Amino acid sequence: MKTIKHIIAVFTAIILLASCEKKSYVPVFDELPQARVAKQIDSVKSILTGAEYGWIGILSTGTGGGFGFFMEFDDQENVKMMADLTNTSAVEVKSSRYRIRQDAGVALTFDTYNYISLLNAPNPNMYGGAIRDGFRSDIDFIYDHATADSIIFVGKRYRQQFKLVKATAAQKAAYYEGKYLVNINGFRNFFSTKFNNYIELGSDKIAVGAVTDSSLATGKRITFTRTEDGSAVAVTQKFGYTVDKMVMTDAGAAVLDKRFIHAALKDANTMAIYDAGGTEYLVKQNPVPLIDFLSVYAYNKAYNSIFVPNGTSLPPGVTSDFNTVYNDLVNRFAASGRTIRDFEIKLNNSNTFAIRINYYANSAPTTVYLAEALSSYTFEDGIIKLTGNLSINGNWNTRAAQIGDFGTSFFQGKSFRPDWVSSTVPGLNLGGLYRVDQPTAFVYGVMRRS
Amino acid sequence: MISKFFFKPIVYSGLLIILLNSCRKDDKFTPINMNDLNPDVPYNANTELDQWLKANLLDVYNSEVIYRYSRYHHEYDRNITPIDVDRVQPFMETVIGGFANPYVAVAGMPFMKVNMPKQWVLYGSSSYSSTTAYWGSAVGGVRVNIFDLNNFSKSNTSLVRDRLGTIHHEFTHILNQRVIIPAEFREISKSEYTGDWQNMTDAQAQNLGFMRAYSAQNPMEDFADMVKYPVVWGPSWFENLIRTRTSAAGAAALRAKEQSVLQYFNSGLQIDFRELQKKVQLYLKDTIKDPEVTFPYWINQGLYRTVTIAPDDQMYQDYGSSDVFNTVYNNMKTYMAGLGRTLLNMQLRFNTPTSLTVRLNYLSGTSAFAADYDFAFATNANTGITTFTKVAQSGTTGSYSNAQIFVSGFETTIQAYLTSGTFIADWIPLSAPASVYAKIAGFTKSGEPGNYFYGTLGQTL
Repeated sequence: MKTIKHIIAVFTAIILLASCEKKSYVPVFDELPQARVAKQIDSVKSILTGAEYGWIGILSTGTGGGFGFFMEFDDQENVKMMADLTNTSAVEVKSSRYRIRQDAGVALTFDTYNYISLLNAPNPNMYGGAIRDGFRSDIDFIYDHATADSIIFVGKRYRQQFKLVKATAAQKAAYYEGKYLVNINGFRNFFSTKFNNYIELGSDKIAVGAVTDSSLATGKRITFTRTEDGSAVAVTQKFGYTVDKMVMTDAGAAVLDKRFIHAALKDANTMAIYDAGGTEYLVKQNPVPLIDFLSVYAYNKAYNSIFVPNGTSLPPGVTSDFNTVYNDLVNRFAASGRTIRDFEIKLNNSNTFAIRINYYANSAPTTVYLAEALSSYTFEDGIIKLTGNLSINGNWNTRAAQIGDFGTSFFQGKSFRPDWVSSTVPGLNLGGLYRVDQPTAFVYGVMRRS
Repeated sequence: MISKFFFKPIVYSGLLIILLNSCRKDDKFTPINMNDLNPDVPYNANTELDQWLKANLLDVYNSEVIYRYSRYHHEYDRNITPIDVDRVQPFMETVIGGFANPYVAVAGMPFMKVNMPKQWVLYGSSSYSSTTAYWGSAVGGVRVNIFDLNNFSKSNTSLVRDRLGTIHHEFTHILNQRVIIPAEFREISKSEYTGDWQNMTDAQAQNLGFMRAYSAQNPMEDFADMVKYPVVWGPSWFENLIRTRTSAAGAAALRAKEQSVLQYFNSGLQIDFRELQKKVQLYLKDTIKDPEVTFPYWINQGLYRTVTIAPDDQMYQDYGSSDVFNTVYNNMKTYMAGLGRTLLNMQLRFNTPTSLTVRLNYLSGTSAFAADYDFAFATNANTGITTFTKVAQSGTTGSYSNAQIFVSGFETTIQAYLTSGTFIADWIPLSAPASVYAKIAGFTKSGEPGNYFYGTLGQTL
């Protein structure tokens, strides 16, 4: 009986231990990891070097805007590049080295300096990035996926998308003919000369604005703004230039049910924006900003001040009964040997309305005096109503002869409807207060927050 | 039938065999190896640059130059821009000319084959820790990281000095791992080292006896800077620092450190520090054309105020002299002897960078006197071209009255010689030992290498 127990124990042990026997390595996939990665490296390299006419790239940065590139890769690990970073980089081809290697996946590394390196530069003097961080952009880009005409990478450290699309023969020729800078300048010119831009989305007007420079905080970004329930709703997307477009980064800008992906100039004065479905939206210009004035004007909103920066003349191109009132004021100061440096209407807080005249004696122009009159006000149903008498300071009293009834006749106790002001000179960003009792009389100036 | 006696040993032996076999690794198993797919150094020696680096650094010093960016060679949390490939060769030529060659010349090739950094990793931008930018770092006595090279150009002489200084600084750290810095060096400024050096200005640090604020953080950095600046910025820069920026205590500390460094190199490493200094200075002056290491530059900076020429001194027997100038000098000496005076020496006295007095020191009997002659003077730091122009005497008494005694002899000898054309101001003679480099200097007649005069430099009138 004891012998049987021993035999059973022995066989049990054999079965148990034999179950742990190692077999030879059997990969889950059909090849070893290094073989599969090597294949992927070869594949990525083959894709990059296989584009006969090069690649058009759009790169988003972590803290800056988007940037456009034209790149050609050869099989000797050389890359030629143009970029929209500077006027020079848009016309001068610069060569450098690259390599494809194994990292956290297959990585494309721009391993000697080229234009793309500037976005990584930790020294602000190099391209205006933040000290130490630059634009939070990468040198190493991890391969994500490829399609028939595109290859997509993601920055290794800052996780920004770098999308490359195959260029056509015509596009490559255009890059080498200097048309990249021409296109960039076309957009720059459009946004510096066309104001209050918008597109129509059904019955909605969507304001379109863009910062075309490359500054870290605001540059290379396009903003779509609409009014919803009395408030401005803005969608901002980064963009980079190609030789014929302004291309938004990543998946584009989602506005209502549309996704805008790029813009193009049809001619010097006509720009169109395109959604992902290929629908074209022409950019038009409104005489005044599209945003509801009341959504941006109040003591605690984007604008609380209507400002005349050159105190001796109101902003040009506007016809208002206030012009005569103001010019008379300027002339009375001039007759006394004084000059109005600037003029301002400001909502100090929720109940104090200020009329502020900064002036100086011509004999001592560096010493500026403030004549100020304050009034209580209410702001209800889109109407500002001044209540009570003006409360004036000492300088206002001292200059009573020059100021005259400027405050009492035009402002004191009056009601005003705030709104944009149209000028024959575009781009001035003017707003004003229209007298309810006399709509042709409105005080106006440049909108600002002070 | 197995006997009971043998049953248990057989069973347990069998179990042991099964156990051992069951855990045996199959020799067909292949480990995962990605090394070939991500080499530290992407060798692709097909370019002219790669071939040049191989021929001039790898083959000569067994030093590899890594210029193709790899994040793994620097602190992982930093953004550092790759180097522009066009900057690599000019920079490494400077490394060879201003660092490797001088060390080879003074310490020998075997020394450099052993001690030359085995990896040079080059970057385009600075490396920022926070807001502090670093230009270099030494890693493990093997690797040197050099940053901020994308603006490098041999024609930017101050930048060449900066980067060459970084290399000498970092290499000193490597040498310090071979021969530790002298104990007495650590004591010289022991009470002045501070962790708060970043809030100290260079001027404050220099006043305390440091090269700059960075040196004040610990003896290691202090020592490396005590090599960097005297070797690359030069002995005149060092003298000028002591003259203009330090307190008496600071100057004493710098002198003590200078001696300690000399001792370290000369005895500890068996390297002639002054010879090393001279080699680097000549490279900067003659190859890089750095105007800030020239004799004229330091005249114009007001460091050197006198040059004393005494052809009877032993120095001229040892280092040589010019027959043309000796004839001029001796004619004047003979002229004065005819008047019962003994000419001792001639001294150029730089009253300002543009105003010079030539003083003849002589004996009348046993009494010493001086005779002064005024000149306008101009010397160019870039070219060394120097002109002497006689101007009206600015006095009539004392040494100017004495000058009248010999004026006719002076006009036909020394004055005629100095005003006969342009001269080149330089650290001459080149054959003089390194120990007197920047302690003697002089002027060579333009286009006439054998026609020159030189003397001992002084910093005060």
